[in-house]
Amino acid sequence: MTVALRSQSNPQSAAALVAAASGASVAALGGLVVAGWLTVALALIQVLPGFPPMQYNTALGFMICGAALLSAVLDLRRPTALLGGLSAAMGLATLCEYLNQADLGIDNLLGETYVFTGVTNPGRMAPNSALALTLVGAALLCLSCRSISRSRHVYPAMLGSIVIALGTAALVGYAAGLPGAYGWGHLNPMSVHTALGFILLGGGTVGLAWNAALGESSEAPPWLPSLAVIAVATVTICIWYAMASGFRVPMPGLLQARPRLRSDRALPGVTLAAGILSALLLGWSLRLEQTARRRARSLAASNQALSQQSRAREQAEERLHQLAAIVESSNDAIIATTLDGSILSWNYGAERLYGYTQDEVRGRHVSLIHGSPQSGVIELFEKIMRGGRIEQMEVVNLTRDGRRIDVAFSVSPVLDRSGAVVGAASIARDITERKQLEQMKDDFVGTVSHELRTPLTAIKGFIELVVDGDAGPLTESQREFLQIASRNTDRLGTLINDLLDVNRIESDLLETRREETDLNAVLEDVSATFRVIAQAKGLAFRTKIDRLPRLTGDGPRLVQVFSNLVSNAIKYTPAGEIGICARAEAEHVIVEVFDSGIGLNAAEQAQLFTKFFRGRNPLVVESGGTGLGLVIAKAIVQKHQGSIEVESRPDHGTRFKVTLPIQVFPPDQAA
Amino acid sequence: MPTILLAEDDKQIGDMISFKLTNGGHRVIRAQDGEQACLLAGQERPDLILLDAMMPSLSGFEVLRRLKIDPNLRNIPVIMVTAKGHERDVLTGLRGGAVDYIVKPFSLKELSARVELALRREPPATAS
Repeated sequence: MTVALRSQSNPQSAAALVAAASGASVAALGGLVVAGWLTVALALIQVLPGFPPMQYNTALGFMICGAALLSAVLDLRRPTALLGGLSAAMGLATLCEYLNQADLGIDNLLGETYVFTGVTNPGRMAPNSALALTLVGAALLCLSCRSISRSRHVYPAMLGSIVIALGTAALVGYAAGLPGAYGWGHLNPMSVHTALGFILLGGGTVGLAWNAALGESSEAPPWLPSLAVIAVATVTICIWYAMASGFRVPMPGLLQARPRLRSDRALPGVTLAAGILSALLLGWSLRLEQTARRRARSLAASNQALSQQSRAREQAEERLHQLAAIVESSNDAIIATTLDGSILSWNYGAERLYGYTQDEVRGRHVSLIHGSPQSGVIELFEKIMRGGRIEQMEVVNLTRDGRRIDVAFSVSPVLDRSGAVVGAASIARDITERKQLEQMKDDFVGTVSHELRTPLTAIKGFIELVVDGDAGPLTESQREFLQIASRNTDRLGTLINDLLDVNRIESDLLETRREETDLNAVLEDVSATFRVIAQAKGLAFRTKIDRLPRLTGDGPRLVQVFSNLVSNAIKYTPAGEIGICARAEAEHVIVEVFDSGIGLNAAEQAQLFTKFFRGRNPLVVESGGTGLGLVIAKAIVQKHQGSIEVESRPDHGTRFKVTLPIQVFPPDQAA
Repeated sequence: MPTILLAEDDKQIGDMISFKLTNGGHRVIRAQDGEQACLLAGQERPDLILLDAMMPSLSGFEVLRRLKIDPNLRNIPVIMVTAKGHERDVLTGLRGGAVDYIVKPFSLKELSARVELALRREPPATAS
């Protein structure tokens, strides 16, 4: 489209250049002849002595038409229309003069004629010139018109070809000594350079039409054969007319009329027949040629489309091949099944993991690897059918030789083009080794824990024996010092417990029970423990605990959470109050632990739940604490699908808000 | 004087508990491992057994299992003592028939309180 527009508005095609060149040269020709008339240069007016002159009006017409062609090439529609109309009007007026044998006074408008060679109506444009001028004018008018797109190039081309034919016939007449070809009857003849000018003008008009046609398609215009037929036929008719009429304008000295022979009688008819025949043959062969070209082009286009298609297919196959290779080379087992669970494909990873070859399992049900009709498999496929996915479910599978292996299993639906679920793709990864590592780590942690606690138990126990006087009487300061030692063994015990918990949290092994839990009992337990401690420090201990619904969770772990929060509150509150309030809200229970202590600034709040974070106040160090309590509390709350938030202002206090869902998970029947 | 069988592989902790309980007016007999604990339980028919969970040869849980299948010994109350504080162990111990559970490090006062409590318990009429 862009190209088409450009070729119209900014002509660069050869056709446009031809039009521009012919326009310029015709205008120049007209100008020269006018100059000839003005300066009495007979060579410009007649070319050769004895030839008829180019009339003033013809020269003027050439100038107008040349300018019109140039403006048409530059796509200046209005000047083209104006100049085309003017030349058509001139031609028409002259034709009218001939037809009505009248004188409209336009013949000698510019200047009085003074060359009369072969002229019967002095100063008047030859009738064939007038016709040609009219046709050129009409063609230019057509070209300047935007709305009628078809006529924009078909009609001007036809008219242009007739103009070329008229000029050619006249030239042939001059060359062959057939005056009837350039002078109709006794009327004024067309001069030799007028004939040349019209050939140029006609060519320019056809060029313009061609250029317009190029805007629509890049091929040669479809009207080319008709154009050739019309041009050749017109020339033939003109020549035939000239031969048949046998009229000779007396032109002394140039071409002497021969005496007429007998054979001359048949000549016009033969010429006409031959000319028309050759016109038709030319048109037909051009048409054939065009058709052949078009076919060749469409063949080439369809060839290209075919090869593109086959390339696309090759690429698709290549991609498919690559995907298949990826699936095949995967270490994970990749299994495609139908919706009812029968196995469609089974990659090498699956062969290695389960021990069955693809041929052995194709068409069998996946319960083969999931063990005897596991209820889980059916539910799993039902979920997939609804378009769901199953991510990393840890299951125990059976291998061919009966081994039980731990696998992480993901299942996702396979969709067809319309998005309907047509099957399931399962990916299984052997995690037996990981499970073993986890077990080893668990065992290690257990052992370390035992090894740490045993000496701690001895230290604590013996100190206690001494403090309690079991080993004899003590002085007051001995007792006091031993009590400090005892408190520190307690701290050490707590630290060990906390470290073990953090270790479990980090390896995602923190277990929480799922049983019906009375949160009121939990909070009462915590309150009872810490009320004494808070009051001993001189702090008010307030509680506002509503009757709470029972929730599913781990009582001792929740005690741990709130103990951590309350003991923190006590630790960070030098004076004032601390407290717990709790309420139920729709599906949740909200427990808040607040204090009027030193509070936390924004930076501290940001790293509050990171390991070993400790408050800034030196009194904290003295109070002990591992810096792990909040990490553990948060992990436990999250295990309960709850959340923990903090709100604090330095020097005003801190408020921890724990939100727990009432129904976390179905109560554990097994444990 | 009630007799208490103390099965504890760590000598110092054994000494410590033994000292406390003896001071508290109990007769304490000691076992160093699980096998010995089973043996002594059969021979001495103690009034209470304090059983460490982690011992060489037989674990405390295994000893507990054996005691509970012996009709002569099944009614002797058992308190498990262990460093493992995991709920799994607590549950294993209680389900296995232990009357109580003490986690190391413990307070000796708490231990002797629990011992007194267990000794005062009525022996269950039928134990599973």
